[in-house]
Amino acid sequence: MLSKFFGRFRKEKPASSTIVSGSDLLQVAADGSRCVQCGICGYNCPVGIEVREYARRGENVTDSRCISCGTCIEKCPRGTLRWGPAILIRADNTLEINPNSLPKDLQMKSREIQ
Amino acid sequence: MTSHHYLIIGNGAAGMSAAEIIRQRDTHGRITIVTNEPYLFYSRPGVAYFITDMIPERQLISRTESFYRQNKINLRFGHISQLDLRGQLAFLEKGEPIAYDVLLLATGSTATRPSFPGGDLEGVITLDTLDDAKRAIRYGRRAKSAVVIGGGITAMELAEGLSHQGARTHLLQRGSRLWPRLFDEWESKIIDSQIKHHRIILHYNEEVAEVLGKKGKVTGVRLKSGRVIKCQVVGVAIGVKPNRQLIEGLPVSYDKGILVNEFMQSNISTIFAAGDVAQVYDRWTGRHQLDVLWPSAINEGQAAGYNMVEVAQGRNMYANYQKESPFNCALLFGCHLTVIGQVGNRSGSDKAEISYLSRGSSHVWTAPFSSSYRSAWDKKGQNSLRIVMAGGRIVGALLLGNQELADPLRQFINQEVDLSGYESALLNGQEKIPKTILEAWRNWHQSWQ
Repeated sequence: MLSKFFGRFRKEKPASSTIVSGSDLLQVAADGSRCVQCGICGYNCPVGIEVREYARRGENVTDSRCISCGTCIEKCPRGTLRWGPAILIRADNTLEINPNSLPKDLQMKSREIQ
Repeated sequence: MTSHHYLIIGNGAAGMSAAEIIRQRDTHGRITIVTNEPYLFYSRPGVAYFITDMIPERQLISRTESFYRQNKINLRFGHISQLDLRGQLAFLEKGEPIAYDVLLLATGSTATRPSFPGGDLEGVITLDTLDDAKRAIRYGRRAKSAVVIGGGITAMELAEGLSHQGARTHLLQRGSRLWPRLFDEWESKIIDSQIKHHRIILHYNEEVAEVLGKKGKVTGVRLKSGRVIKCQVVGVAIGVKPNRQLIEGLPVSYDKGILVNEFMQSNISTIFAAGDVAQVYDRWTGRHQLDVLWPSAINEGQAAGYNMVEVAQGRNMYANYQKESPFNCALLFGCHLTVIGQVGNRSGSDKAEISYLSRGSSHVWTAPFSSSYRSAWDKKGQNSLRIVMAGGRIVGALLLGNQELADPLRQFINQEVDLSGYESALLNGQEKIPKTILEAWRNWHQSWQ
């Protein structure tokens, strides 16, 4: 029987070492485990993006209205948000979409394809 | 196809995350959440930011009515006062029965009331729920002075809130530093200096003997030193107690909280528990422990949700929950704090601290250290980094101010990465620590390939 693990055993492989850097094209990235859904991010967003919905799923903020002002990053009281690359650069200079820039269900599929 | 009924008592982080998983796994099942608060799902930790006016009340609500509707989660406002295990029934206060196939107890915990005389006067408040927060704001606005008691995050947040609302606020500490279970001298001093900027008056080595009152209302506190501080509100944050009243007297095993196995299941196969009320096995100490942290509640709720579907549909459970090393972060008086793993202090005088868990605290932070534990520091101005090492691994870290190394440290601790090759460099301390951690981090990443 296949087991599923929560908590400590939900190990995630760190980004592959073939990835040497990220693009200068940045998005707001979230560490979902720091988020407590207080909503300070979205409350301060000048264009009204519900940032915590992305944070909850651990996705980058890909809303096309985002003007990259960084207000949500600055206001978050728990350090959930930061700048992260939208595109990853491999050692051989080829590119890869950051899996966090995709919705969660697509992330799984993208891992399978890889 | 029969549709199963999943009953969840409690609309907090554990209850909600269980409901979400159940809906993903069983699209036909009926899900009912019963809550004794008059609100949709809101951010409990967020009330600290509500009392300092960083966000309005409506922003705390993070699941709208349409979310409940879309996910076919039936939210009922009421209080479950009794269970019938044999009949698989839960009774609302007025006697109305709700039949269930599988039950999740996610009833959370409640702030401990003080035991000193006068603790029941009007004006003695705690900070737990949204209603508590509203009360704190009301009292804070009206009061000229406030006194706050408690050594943890919640006490500091409550003091910050009352002060922000205009009350001249005194924060009383039983010992000679802030949060003695966790902070060392230096870390306490950093927060201490921040607190002074917030016009809060700190008193060390002071304890309340009694709350003074007139016509049932708070007028001041008398300290054990004999001193009297006049105030109209007393904030108390001395810990939390799991809400396990519902199962007391029933054949459900409990200790401080409800005892559950790795599947979040109690000794009764159709009853699960998750969140503050559950007492889970902790491999770090080898005992069942309470864990009143938000991320734990979410993980526990999700694991419970998976297994509840399996039990309802007559299959074997497979979602294992294993407690992570404790992790919490906070913004205290403008200073960022992250605590990971075992960092607690062992100085003798602090042993008799509080008898219950602080909100946002964890027993494991202060689990007894063996003599092989060694600490190292890097301190610069308002930034501080402390690591604790044992057996060639980092087992705990506390970061104040600069948070750059929080993520690498968290992975090192959680995944028990062997750093014995770096041990001497790390334990020599000072500016070598951050450099060494980054170097180890890079090498660890490369080792995955």
